[in-house]
Amino acid sequence: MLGNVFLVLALSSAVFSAFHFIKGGTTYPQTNRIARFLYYLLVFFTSAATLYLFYLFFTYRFEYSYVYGYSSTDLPLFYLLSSFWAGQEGTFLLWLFFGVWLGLFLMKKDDEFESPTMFFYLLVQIFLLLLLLKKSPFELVPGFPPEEGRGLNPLLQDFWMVIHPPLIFLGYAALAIPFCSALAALLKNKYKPWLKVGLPWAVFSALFLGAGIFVGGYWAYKVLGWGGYWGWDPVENASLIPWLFVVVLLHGIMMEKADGSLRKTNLFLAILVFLLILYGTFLTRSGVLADFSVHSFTDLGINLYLIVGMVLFASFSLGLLLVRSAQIKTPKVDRNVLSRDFGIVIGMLFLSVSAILILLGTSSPIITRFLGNPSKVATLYYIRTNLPLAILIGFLVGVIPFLAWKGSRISKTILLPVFLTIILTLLAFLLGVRSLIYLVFMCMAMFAFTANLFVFIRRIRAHVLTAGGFLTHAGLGLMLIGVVTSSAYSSSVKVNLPKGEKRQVWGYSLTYQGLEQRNLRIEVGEKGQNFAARPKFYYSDYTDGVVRTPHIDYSLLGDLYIAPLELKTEQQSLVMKRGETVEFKDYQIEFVGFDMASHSMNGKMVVGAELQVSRNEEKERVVPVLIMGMEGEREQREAVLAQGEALVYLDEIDADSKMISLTIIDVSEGASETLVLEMSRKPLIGLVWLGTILIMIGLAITWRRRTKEAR
Amino acid sequence: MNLKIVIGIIIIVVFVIFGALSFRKTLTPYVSFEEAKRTDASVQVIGKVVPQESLYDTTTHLFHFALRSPEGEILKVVFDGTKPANFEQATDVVAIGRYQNGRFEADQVLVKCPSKYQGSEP
Repeated sequence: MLGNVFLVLALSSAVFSAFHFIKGGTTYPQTNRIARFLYYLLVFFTSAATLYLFYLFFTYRFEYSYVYGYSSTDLPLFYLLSSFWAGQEGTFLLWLFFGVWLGLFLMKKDDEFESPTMFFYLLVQIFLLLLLLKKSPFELVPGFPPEEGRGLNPLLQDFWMVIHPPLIFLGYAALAIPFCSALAALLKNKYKPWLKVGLPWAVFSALFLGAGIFVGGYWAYKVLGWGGYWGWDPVENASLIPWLFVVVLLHGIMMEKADGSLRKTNLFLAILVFLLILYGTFLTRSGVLADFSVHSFTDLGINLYLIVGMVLFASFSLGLLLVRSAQIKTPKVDRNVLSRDFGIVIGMLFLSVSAILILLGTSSPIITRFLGNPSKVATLYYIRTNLPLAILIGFLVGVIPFLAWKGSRISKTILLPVFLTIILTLLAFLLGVRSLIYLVFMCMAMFAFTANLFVFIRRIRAHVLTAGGFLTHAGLGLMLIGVVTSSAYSSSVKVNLPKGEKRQVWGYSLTYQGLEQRNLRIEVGEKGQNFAARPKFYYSDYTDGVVRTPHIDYSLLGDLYIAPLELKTEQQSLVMKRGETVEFKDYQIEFVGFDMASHSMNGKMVVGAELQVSRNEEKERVVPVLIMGMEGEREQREAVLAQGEALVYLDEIDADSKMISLTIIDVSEGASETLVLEMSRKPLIGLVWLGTILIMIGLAITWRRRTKEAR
Repeated sequence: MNLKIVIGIIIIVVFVIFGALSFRKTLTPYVSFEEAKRTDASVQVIGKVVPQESLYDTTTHLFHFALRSPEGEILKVVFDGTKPANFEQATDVVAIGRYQNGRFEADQVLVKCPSKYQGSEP
């Protein structure tokens, strides 16, 4: 209850604060004082709600359905943090929390832009607050409070998943700042001052949203076990698209600050980026993509809110831009084809095209719905369309440092990186890169890397703060090299490993030694050196399925990626009639009849099969149970046979003909087991991570520079 | 100035055409089992899992299962991968791929679960 009270108080503070900000405008400084005070109240109540939700998690208050749904008492304390943002309600609160705190940096400017900027900014926070009140994390579980929570999805119990959502939502929250400053500029019809605010915050969002995306990719690689880090899934694309556009925006503002060009473009981009976040939220939270993604989407019943919010924000922001568009004066700029500014504009164009193509692909189920049959595009679409763009971007990023601003020729210093690139490309060719398209791709990526590294090293001595961009671009080149080597040139093989038997794969000897609690133990030997691979493999009650995580042997030249697929145990499936007796090892199993206790429970059918099991003189009765729900879901409760030597599952029943089908699994000491695993080599995948780290450091340096300038 | 606008327009037009072609080419529409059998294009099918019919073959490393449509048709599916999580609890299973060699060869399998099993994957 208290939580919702905080949210309602936060909402009222926000509404009144927005009202006072817009009412006074700049003519009444004292109304701004009231508005600011109300904003502080908003910060206070939002923080109170956030802390209160943390408190509920750390005190295991399972009467709250959000706490019940995402935590349990046996969850390590550290992961209670991720419970907070494991569900959608919590992520909205996190988003709001970051949003209101970042807003403090916008306030107290004491200029004519404070009021309109804060007014628009508060509209964004009000929108989030309305979503939160519609779908509150403080709802109570109906009926009697449960004693234990459902726990947290085991896949989310990972360090990287603790920090991934805060990074993403810090980026999301910050993207509202360029948006609102651009709107304020449009309202005031003055277009210079907003750039000073817009640029550092665009860089800030690019930094945090980018870090969030990369961390998410690394988590997928480390935990999910399908061998990759990027699957072009709608959830991933929903954050990639605004990221690409905010990168375009920050280049655009840089250009505008230099020569006043691209004025309308930048205003449009600042609006677009924010609208794309709303659109991405709609795509991933509304359930419209439920049939098209490996991620589970649920319709939370907030579709209408999201659509109305999207339409309102889009219409007033784009409407304002349209109304002002005739009054926005852009100086005429003449660009030489061999100038740095021309190169940057073309780069922005390529990056936008890439983002638009990804946007179209991600929206394909919606677009095709209007044409009749909803369909989605294959991941091949994204690869095919982005590959040529990445080549062109790699080339531009490499050549631009050697073009002068407003210049008309290429600097001769380019010869060194070109020379290095040729050598590296030859090396790649000798090492086995034979496909023309990948060779060209690698060549351009290496060019981007060497060229920018070269300039970065030269710059760093003179002035570090101006070198950030070059470091980011060098990192981009490095990352692109790693992307190709680790995906196009990865090799993998599936291996069957009977327990205790040694198998040779690629010069490694592999021996599956058995299951140790939740981990498999595989002895891996390579040239006399041994190590134990211990991928996770266990049955999780939470997901009602097997949780597998890969074992990764990291090395400089490439990772060895060992992903368990299946554990085949000795098992037998049989169909039995009532009264029939079958043999399993030295047991006699008779199907006596259906369990009399069969009944329905909460609309579910619960059926047990009574089995009489005998060996020698020993006799016992066991009852495996099958539960069938209305939605067609099934749950099997196994019966334990002979002191745990075998498990019996009831797979299917046919009440009319009194038949059942069973699966019996031998789990005794000496039972044979075969582990099926997939072993892959990921050449130079470390370059992907190293590249992303350089991108982040470069962005951080640039952010420092641009905040200093803004002061 | 004109030259640059022309360059810009050419770039956009080329990529729009290229993008549209790739878009159309890689679309995988939802179709009925019968249609899936008729066409050799990549499509999506949806159905319920036929119990007792799923098997992971350790020699070929293929996962075999069968789907039943609401009309009662059966479609045999092979998937070059492992049994997806929550496969048994699935209310519906989506397979994306193409029909060839007398069976539906899936590149991707999506499992739709009842809300109870809905995880909180981001």
